[in-house]
Formats: sequence, C-alpha cells, structure tokens
Amino acid sequence: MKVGYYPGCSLHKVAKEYDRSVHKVMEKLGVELVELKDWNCCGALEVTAVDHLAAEGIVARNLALAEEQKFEQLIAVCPACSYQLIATNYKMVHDKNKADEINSLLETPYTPNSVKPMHILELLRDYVGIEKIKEKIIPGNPLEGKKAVSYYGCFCTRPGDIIQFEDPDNPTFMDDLIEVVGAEPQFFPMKTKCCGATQMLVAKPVVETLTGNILLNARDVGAEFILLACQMCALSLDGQQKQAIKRVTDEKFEIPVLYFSQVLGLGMGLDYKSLGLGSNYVSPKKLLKGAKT
Amino acid sequence: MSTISIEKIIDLSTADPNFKNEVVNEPGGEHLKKCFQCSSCTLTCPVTDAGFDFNPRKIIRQVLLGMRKEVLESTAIWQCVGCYECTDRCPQNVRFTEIIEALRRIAVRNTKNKDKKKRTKLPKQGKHKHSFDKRFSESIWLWGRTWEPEYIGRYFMYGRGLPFGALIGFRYISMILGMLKKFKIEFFPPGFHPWNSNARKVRKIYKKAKSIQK
Repeated sequence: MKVGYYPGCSLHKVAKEYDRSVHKVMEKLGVELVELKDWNCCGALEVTAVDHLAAEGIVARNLALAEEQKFEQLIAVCPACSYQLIATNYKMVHDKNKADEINSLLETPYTPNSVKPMHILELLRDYVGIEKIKEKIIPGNPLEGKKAVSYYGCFCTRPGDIIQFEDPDNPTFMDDLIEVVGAEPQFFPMKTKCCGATQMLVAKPVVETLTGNILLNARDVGAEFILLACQMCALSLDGQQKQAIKRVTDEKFEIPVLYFSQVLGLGMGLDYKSLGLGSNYVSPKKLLKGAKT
Repeated sequence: MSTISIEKIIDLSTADPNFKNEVVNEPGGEHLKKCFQCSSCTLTCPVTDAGFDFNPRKIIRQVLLGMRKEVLESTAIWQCVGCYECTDRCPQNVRFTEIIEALRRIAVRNTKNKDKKKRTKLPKQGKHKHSFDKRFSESIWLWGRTWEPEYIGRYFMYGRGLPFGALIGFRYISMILGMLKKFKIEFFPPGFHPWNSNARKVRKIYKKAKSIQK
C-alpha cells in the first residue's frame, strides 16, 4: 500500500523521533510512505488568525499537489496539519462558492474530495487494521504489564463534525494500541483536554497549568507512561514536564511520554536507537529497564 | 464558593448594535446569533477550568449586546488556546473557536481604524499573540515552511518589544537548552533547495488573497 505523507514543519527536526519511528513502524506494517513533493506549511492556527483566505489557500495547495502526484490518501502525522487538511477539504466539498474562491488562488485547481486527507491513526484503524498490527507484535516486549494512559489532545478527534474519526469525548483506538502491545490501558478522564501548546510562547502560565493538571491526573490514575500522537502535546507534556508539575503541585514525579509509534515499535522488537527513544526529554530508560530483568 | 452578585450595571447607551452584524459578516462568525446562553462552552473550557479570566458565554453575550470596546480591548479574547472543545460541545453549533478567531481579526484590523470612536487598542497579551501569529506567517512567506529559530527569535526581539523583549527568551531557557541537547533545533532554513518552489507559490497565494479581500 502506497500513501502520501505530509510531514509538516515540526517533524523534520523538533520531533524527529516521531518521524523516524513512524517510518520504521509503517515499513514493518507494509505501508509505503511517500513524502509529498514540494509541500508547504499548513499554517496551523496562526495564519488563520492573520489572513483567513490565505490560510485556506496554502492548505489547498498541498491538497492540489497530492492530487497532482496521484495519491488517494494523504497522511499527516501532526494533528494540527491533519485538521487543516481535513477541514479545508470539508469546506470545499460542502461550499461550492468557497471552493471556487480558494481555487482562484491556486495555479493548479484542486477538485474537492479527490484526495482523502487523514491522521495516521485513522490509517492504522481503517486501512491497516488492529489485527494486522497484532500479528507483528512480539511477545515478551519491555512494555508488557505496564499501566499506561492514552492522551489524544485536541485535533485528533475535534471538532467531531469535521474530523469524523472517533467519539470526541472518549476516543478508544489508542487504548486498543496499548492493549495490543500488552500494556494495560487505564481510564483517563483528561484524555482529550487541551495542553495549551498553541499559547506556549505567549502565555506560559496558562500552558503550564493546563499541562500540569493533565500530568497530575495521569499520575493519579496510576500511569507509568503516557501515549500520544501529537508533537506539540509532546513538547508541553514531555519537554516542559518539570516546570508544569512545579506550577500545580509541590510533589515531584516523572512520567515518560512516548509516541504511539515508538510504543508499537517497541512491541515489534525494533531497537531503541531506530525509534529515537534517546530524543525524548523525559528518559524512558527506567521504564524499559524494569521489565527486562 | 463565591456568591452571585451584580458586578456592574451595563450601560447600553454607548453600545454598538451593529457590532454583532460585523462579527457575523466575518468568516467564522456566521453562527453567532444562534447562541442561547446555555454555558456548555464555559463549563467545558480548559482555560476557564484552570482558573483564568476567560468566559466564552460572557464574550458571546457581550458581542450580542454590542459592547464593542469591552470585547475588542479585553485580554479575554486572546486567552483562548483553540482546542475546539466548546465547538464540539455546543448544542447550537455556534463554533465559538472560529468566533474568537474572527474577533481577533476584527480587533487587529480596528487598531488602524480612521474613525477614532471605533479605533481599538490591543491589550498586552493580544499584542504578543498577534505578533506571534504574524511572525509565523511571515516565516511561511519567506521559506514556504516555518523555520522555528528564525520566527521565534524575531518574535522575542520585535514582538516583545525592543530592546529588552529578547530577554523574555530567558524564561524559556530550559526549553531551548533541552532542545539543543537533543539536537532538535534546525540551524538552516528548511526545504531550501533550488527544486522546491513552495516559497514562491506561497507568496503568490498570499498576494492574491490580499488583493481579493481588498
């Protein structure tokens, strides 16, 4: 199976371990990720706030490129990117005037719905299937029996009417992934609460409080590691963990934060280096060592 | 628990009844008038939860009442983290996150309004957030993709105000050092190859979008 791959700006450097592990895992699952040629930034939420139309234009350009390069599915790993791609496609399908307006900005027009943009979790659920992932998992991996929580963040499931992926209140697919690896998913009330990463450089206290509450809640339900699928969430939950915990409580604790692809890779017996586990801010060494002995 | 009290009597003689129409005309604000003040958005908002001065329901009510200055000059509209939880929970499909974006755009546009009565002044957080958004989109204009050190550096220098703005960067020193340690900072412009035309194409799109909106 060959699918288009839209990395987004942060995947090449800021979240290189996510990029690397996704490639390794998809290779094992027999999915070929072909990077979209000549892609540009999706604009995230920032460009919309400055210029509404230009923001839609630059997203539509990526979709038009995917159409030109004959991809049926366009995968984004960053939820903000996947949200922008899905939302623009959705708008163009449902509003013809809007579609004409956006197409007038582009050199090669985009035919709405000719590409199906989606987040990588959706590809895993609907096109690869949990059964196929189960086949590749090797028993006796270091995560077996560990307690874990899945953290979705915002754009994997919300806004529900546009993304149409999972129940926006209680999505469960990442819990299934935890189960497949042999770890025990815990019920996590703050699964879809925002970590506030979009305001990271503007309002630090807000982000730290939101993130701290999530981490505190994860600790309370007994999580030994957190599973997520967004590099911005990782930046605040993982990279800012110490400060965030400091802001909401006096206690000290550490929870390793892993990408879902890293966890699947560990389950498939891939070596640590190729999954980029050394690049996580909170070192998962302790978590992985305990199981081996 | 705090008791409910009338904080301030609202003087509607200075209100602008056309303000709500202005918001409805802005892309994203179309569903504003459907709001029936059930407060679902406020109850589900993570920022309100964390105890910050932010109340989506109140903002919508203020817009509907026409409290132009109070809304556009408040810090509140810049507090939103854009998580779409309110949009998802709303029984009336008001899409508050998009309304916030529309309000921000109106607030920024009106800083240069020739009509002195309608001119607004951005609060401090608003200035910062707007500056961040602007640097972000400029970075895309320059490189076709965002280049973090470049736009964040410029944001600290200009957005936070010269010459001491850059010192704010020290607040983030642990994050920056952490990224340096893990080799996560890009030192060269991303995707800078002669065969990539993305930056040129993006500039064209920006230009066309601007000329259409004028």
